[in-house]
Amino acid sequence: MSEVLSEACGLRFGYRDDERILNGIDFEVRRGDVRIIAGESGKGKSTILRLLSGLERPHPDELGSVAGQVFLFGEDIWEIPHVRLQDLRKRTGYVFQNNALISNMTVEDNIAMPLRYHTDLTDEKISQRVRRWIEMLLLAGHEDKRPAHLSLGMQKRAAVARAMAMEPEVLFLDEPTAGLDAKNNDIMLSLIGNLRALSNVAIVMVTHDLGSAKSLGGRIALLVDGTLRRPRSMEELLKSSDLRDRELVRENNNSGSRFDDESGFPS
Amino acid sequence: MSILLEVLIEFPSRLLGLVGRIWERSLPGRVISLFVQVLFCPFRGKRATARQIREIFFQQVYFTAVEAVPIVVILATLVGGVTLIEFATVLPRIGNSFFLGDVMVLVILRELAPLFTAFIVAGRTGSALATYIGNMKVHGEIDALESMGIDPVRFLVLPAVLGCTIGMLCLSLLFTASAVFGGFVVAQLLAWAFPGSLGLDMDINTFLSRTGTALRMLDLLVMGLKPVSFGMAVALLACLNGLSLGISSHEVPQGTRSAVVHSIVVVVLLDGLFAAIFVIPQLGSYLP
Repeated sequence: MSEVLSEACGLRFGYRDDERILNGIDFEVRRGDVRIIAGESGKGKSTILRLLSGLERPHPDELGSVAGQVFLFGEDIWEIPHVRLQDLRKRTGYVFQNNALISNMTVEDNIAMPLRYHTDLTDEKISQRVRRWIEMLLLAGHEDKRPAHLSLGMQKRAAVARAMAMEPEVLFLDEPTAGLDAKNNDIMLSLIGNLRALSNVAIVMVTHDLGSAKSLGGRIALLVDGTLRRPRSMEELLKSSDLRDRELVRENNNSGSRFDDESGFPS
Repeated sequence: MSILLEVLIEFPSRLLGLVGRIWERSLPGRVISLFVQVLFCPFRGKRATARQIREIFFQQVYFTAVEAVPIVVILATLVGGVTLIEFATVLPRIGNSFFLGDVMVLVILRELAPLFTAFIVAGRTGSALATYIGNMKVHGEIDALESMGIDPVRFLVLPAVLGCTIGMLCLSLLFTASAVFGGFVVAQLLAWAFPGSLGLDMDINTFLSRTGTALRMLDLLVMGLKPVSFGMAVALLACLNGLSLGISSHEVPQGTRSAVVHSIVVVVLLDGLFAAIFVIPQLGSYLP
């Protein structure tokens, strides 16, 4: 069995002054896996991603047995020093729901940033690598633009390019297709599929759009009442005996009809 | 009995924990923690980042110092002139206007130049820096840096603090020079208007030599140390207020306002600290 890259054990979490939104999440991602987390809005899907990557931490009083544990590449991220966590993050990529591109940098500089920070590559080598991602993510001709001058679809693709720049082992995608029109939605899913095929990166994706799960061939874990259900395929979910599961799938399967074959890519 | 004993044994560690938590959340605790991070972060990261950080540093110096030159020169010339007018009218009444050089050194070089410059830097650079970092925070850009394993302190705070400190030092020296020049111009005007009455009939060499005679090593030390510590404090407080914001845009102006207010208060407190360290011990030598 392949190596576990990211894992949560008995994860419990609530934002300060709010009630607990996660009540014991058990979740693991192995090399090459595609895991999709779906569920109702505001129920903690993005929070799971933030916790898995260490961007969110439980309150210090809850660290330890109360909050559970999160492992990244086998290391407990709440126990290790922050500097070590920063080292581990070189091996992960994260695409934020709002893209979070650095607004005063060009697309090219945004993509080059992690390479400049973490590697000793020459400017020429960095430029070559950035060029490759720019072409792969269909951003050629826009590399000198700032994020505000790009369409939403381009911003999302630039965010994916930046997340992939360090060739990570795990890619966390927070609603990568949110707000996109049908065409850009399909392009984005197709590109993510290509990236996966090319680099065997493990993908953890939070989405409303369960059609994308089918497109990427991943297994879907539904977040219900603060717990994650066992990851299942779309077909298994549609045949589930649990009415709640079937309702959630129907509510979130916005673009399912656009995927009419099993190739994993939009028709 | 055993419970009481247990409570008594645990009391010191609980008290220390409580004090630690209060310190961690307090403004001085957070500023010192950020300062320590700034001190140690240069030793991480790669060569190419150093270039990127250098660019941010030069941008910061440009914004803090170069762009503020006109306002500092105008303000300093006026302040220098007004200070000279005030003392030129008072000194003859209490004895001798020969002490004008000492007054210029004491008041402008040691007090007004660093303080005025710090207020200008707090208003311009501090507010801009807090807004910039605050916007990055609320738009998730700081989280994005973290998610890439990029230390925001090394990437943003370090060049901002260095740039602001160097910029503040340059501005303070410029303020001093402009204020002394402004003082001289006003002295000439007064001498022309009231010839011989105020004891201000002097050429530039005499004026500078009077000021230079009054200048001691300690004044030069204070002239260097004050702007450095004020610049550092303004930048650290601006960055801290920016980084402390949550995720709502409405918090940005609040963070900016806090950065400026904290900066002004801390600069005045530091000025008091300098007075306590460098001036009060020498009071004895001034007494009859």
